[in-house]
Amino acid sequence: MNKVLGNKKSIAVFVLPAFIIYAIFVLVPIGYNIYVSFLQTDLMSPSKFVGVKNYINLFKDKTFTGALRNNILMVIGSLIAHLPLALLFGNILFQKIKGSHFFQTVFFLPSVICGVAVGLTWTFVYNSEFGLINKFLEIIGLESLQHVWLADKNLALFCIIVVVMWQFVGYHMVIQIAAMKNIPLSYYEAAEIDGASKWVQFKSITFPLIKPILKVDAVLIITGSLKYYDLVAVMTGGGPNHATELMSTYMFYQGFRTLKYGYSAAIGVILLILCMCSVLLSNFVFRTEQVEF
Amino acid sequence: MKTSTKERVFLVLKYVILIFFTILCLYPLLWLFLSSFKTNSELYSNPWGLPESFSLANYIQAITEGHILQYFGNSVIIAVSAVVIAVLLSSMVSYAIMRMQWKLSKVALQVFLLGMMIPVYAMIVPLFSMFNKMHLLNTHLAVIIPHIGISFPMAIFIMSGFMGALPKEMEEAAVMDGCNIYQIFFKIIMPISQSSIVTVAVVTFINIWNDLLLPQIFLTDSSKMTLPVGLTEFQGQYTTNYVVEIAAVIITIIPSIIVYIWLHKHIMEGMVAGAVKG
Amino acid sequence: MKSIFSKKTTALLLAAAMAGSLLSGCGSGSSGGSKSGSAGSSEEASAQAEGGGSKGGETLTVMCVGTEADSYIDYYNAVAEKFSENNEYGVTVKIDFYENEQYKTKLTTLMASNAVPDIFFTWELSYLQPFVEGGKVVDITSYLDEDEEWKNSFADGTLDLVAYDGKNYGVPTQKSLCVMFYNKQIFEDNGVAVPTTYEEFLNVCQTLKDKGITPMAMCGTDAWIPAQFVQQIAGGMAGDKMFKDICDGNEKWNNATHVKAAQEVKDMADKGYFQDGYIGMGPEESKEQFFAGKTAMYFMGAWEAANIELSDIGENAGAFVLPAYDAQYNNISVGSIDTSFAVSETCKNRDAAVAFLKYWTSQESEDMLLYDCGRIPAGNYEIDESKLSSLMTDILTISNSQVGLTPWWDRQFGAGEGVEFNNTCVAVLGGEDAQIAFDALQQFAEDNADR
Repeated sequence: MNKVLGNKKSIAVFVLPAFIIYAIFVLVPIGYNIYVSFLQTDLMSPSKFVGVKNYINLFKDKTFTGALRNNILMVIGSLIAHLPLALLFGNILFQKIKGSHFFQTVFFLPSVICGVAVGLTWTFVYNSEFGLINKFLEIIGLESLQHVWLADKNLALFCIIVVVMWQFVGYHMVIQIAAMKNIPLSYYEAAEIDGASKWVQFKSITFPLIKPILKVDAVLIITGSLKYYDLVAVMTGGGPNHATELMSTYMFYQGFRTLKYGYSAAIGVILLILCMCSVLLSNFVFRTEQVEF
Repeated sequence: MKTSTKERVFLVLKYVILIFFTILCLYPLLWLFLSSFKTNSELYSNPWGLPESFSLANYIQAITEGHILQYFGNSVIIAVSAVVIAVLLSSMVSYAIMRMQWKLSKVALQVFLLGMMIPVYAMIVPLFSMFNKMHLLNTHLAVIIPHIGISFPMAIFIMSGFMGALPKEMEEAAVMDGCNIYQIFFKIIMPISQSSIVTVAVVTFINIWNDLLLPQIFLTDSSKMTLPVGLTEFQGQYTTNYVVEIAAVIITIIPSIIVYIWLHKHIMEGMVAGAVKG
Repeated sequence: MKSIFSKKTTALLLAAAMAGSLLSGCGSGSSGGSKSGSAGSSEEASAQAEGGGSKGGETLTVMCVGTEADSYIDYYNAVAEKFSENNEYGVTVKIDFYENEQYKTKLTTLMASNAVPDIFFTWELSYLQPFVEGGKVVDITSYLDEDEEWKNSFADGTLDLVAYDGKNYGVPTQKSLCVMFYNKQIFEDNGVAVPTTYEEFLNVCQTLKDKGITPMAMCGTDAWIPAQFVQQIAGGMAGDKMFKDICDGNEKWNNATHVKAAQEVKDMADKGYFQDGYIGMGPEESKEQFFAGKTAMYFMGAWEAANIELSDIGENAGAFVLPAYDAQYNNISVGSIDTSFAVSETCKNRDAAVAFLKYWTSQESEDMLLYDCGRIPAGNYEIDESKLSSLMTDILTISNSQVGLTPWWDRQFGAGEGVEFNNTCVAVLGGEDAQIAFDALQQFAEDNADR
């Protein structure tokens, strides 16, 4: 047994192909990216080592700080939709309710559609001339509330966040329901006998027991919202006047439009750091305490 | 079963919430679908109602002029090859890490899982310059390879959770029967891990199918582009002819929806198997 | 068993292949982006030559901006076909068209990877500069010097816009400038005449508005479109001296003229001189407003003439130059050379490439582009006015009467200050205070200097 499972050669065959791909195309680029972030380069002319200047400039760059703020708003919006709201849906559907399966299927649906298509769909919904929202406001007589949604610098980002909420609430809900299904039914039966209300059951059984999953889910939500690109690229392209710029779109712009690859790489490094921080943060917030019944 | 009035009110309230969100999920898609049969002027004058006729003109235009089918083919090539390789390699690694006996297995797992935090954006510039030197730019490989690499962390996360929970007896019995490690893996482990493999495959497939950034940067020929990039190109060219654009969006969405409806049980069950292992 | 072994072998081969590429990956990593790529480019060139086929059947590939919706691509293709039919190099020229935004991404990626087609479309000034500095563009000075006649056929100063360090890297094929297109029928029906002063222009707008007609079509999503209008009005307030002063660093971006000009455009928007919802409309959508006769005027580059003549307006289209705010600065317009081409360093058959550009700027093809496609030639040619449509007569009259042209800011300054100027104008239209917005632009310009 140990001879078979401990054979060095077969371990290498199992691990190395994946590890080599992973090392060359994930780990090495990350390291190289950190290196490029200290350069001033357009990948054509000779590059210049500039130390942390790219980073200093980034934090002086109002567009970047704006993009950072937008990303944080995106994280907050996603957290609201994908934790409490998804938990609410999840909790309703977890209890034996008629059509539970149907609702799960429907709510999950938007998350399998590609971001570009979702973005275009909602561009049409937000369209000022024939879009659903303005037409709806017209019908109910609230024409004063009509807007050119995606061109309004105060509303555009909000409009996009709503789409993100819409697209992924079902996805996170399904993860959470999956976690709930792992809880032994006997816990609920016991609580039922004790006369605990649904809310108490949720608070003292469901929530503590799915906490580990919520932690993973929170990491997914935060890193996910730090990485959004498609929706903004399609819906506003970061405009009007950078109002919906995200770190990802700004990185694309600085790299592949203005040819400041070093600057662009520095944005990538900051994104990486933020993603790592989000893991620490979720670990802290969802730290598991001793659960007593 | 006695139901109090309070519970009944709650039940109604629950259904109101659920049905409201169901409409929110489905209506934009339904509206889009109906609009795809309209003419441009109908779209403005009658955005709510049914189209005057279910004419396929917009679809025909999207396919013939928009090269949607070509993009579709490219998307299939890229997504399928990346998924097959990613699933095979990541299940091998997961197996090796969870079941085989070597000192660095836990370290290896950590190194792979670390990748979950890495945003693709932090790799774009280096990958670009690497593929440039390797003459891989503007080939499907330039999109397939990084997608394989990026998919490992999540795939290994899900599968290692699953494989760690498998009973040891099976392997022991197989060893008794004289199976070697490859037979154990391909004949026993792979088949019983089917549900987690399907999950990984579907999640990876959806990610790759939907990705915009990598093909947008690494591919330059429009004959090699994938659907999402094709759609953005469409957006630039047909900004006034909305209905054709809408038809193109529908063509892009439909395969995802079909795959989803066909496999949604697997997807959701897979999530139970995978994500819950946290 | 056999199948298992073959799988193992495959895995090992894969691993070996990957390890090999790891080394080359690292090699490229250590050299960074610093190689200007002479070795790389010659490799590329030979690779291209292999792909290009044997002598005589060679293909020159041109990369150009355009979509199937643009009427001009047929004429550009016609130029390529004519040259391909008969040239001493026996080459065939093929033009690939890409949508504007796609084009920019593609060109930058192709440049970095030394895979640019033989000839590529470029904007003048700052756009071409990094590629020139990166050694990606062929210096064509000697070709111009050899052929004095060709060199002298370009209008004064046009070649300078694609020259860097005194060397020529590009060939401008057209000139362009912004004009105010108008719908003669609408003007006539509402009893308004082409304005000759700025006050008259505002009166025309107000009169049309009062009669329920939207005066102008405007696009808000593509920032350069409102920005060129602001630039035009600013030029009419302070002349081209302010433009030069900003270029030389003697004037600030947040000068009173810019603030006032942006405010002026914002006022027009507030008075309803642009169509409803313009701020969310893309260029095609807003163009359509004018084409369909829903708006009376449309401020745009003269390159749009052919599309307008093909639209519902047809013969009813006219053009005038926007009267200056301060009459002493009349006839200073936003304009520059247009549709320039450059030869890529990777191009193997440079003589043929230059010959093609020479053909493009010859009287024969420029005539075709002018008379059939409404493109103003970059060179000084005799023009047969009888062959011109009335719209093109208007445009050429305007073009010839200009005393100064100021290139679009985003061509002068590129993706830095130029694009931010555009964004600033959109911000003002979106309701931001003009002074604050331009102060921010000035701040950006100062920060951007050492980025």
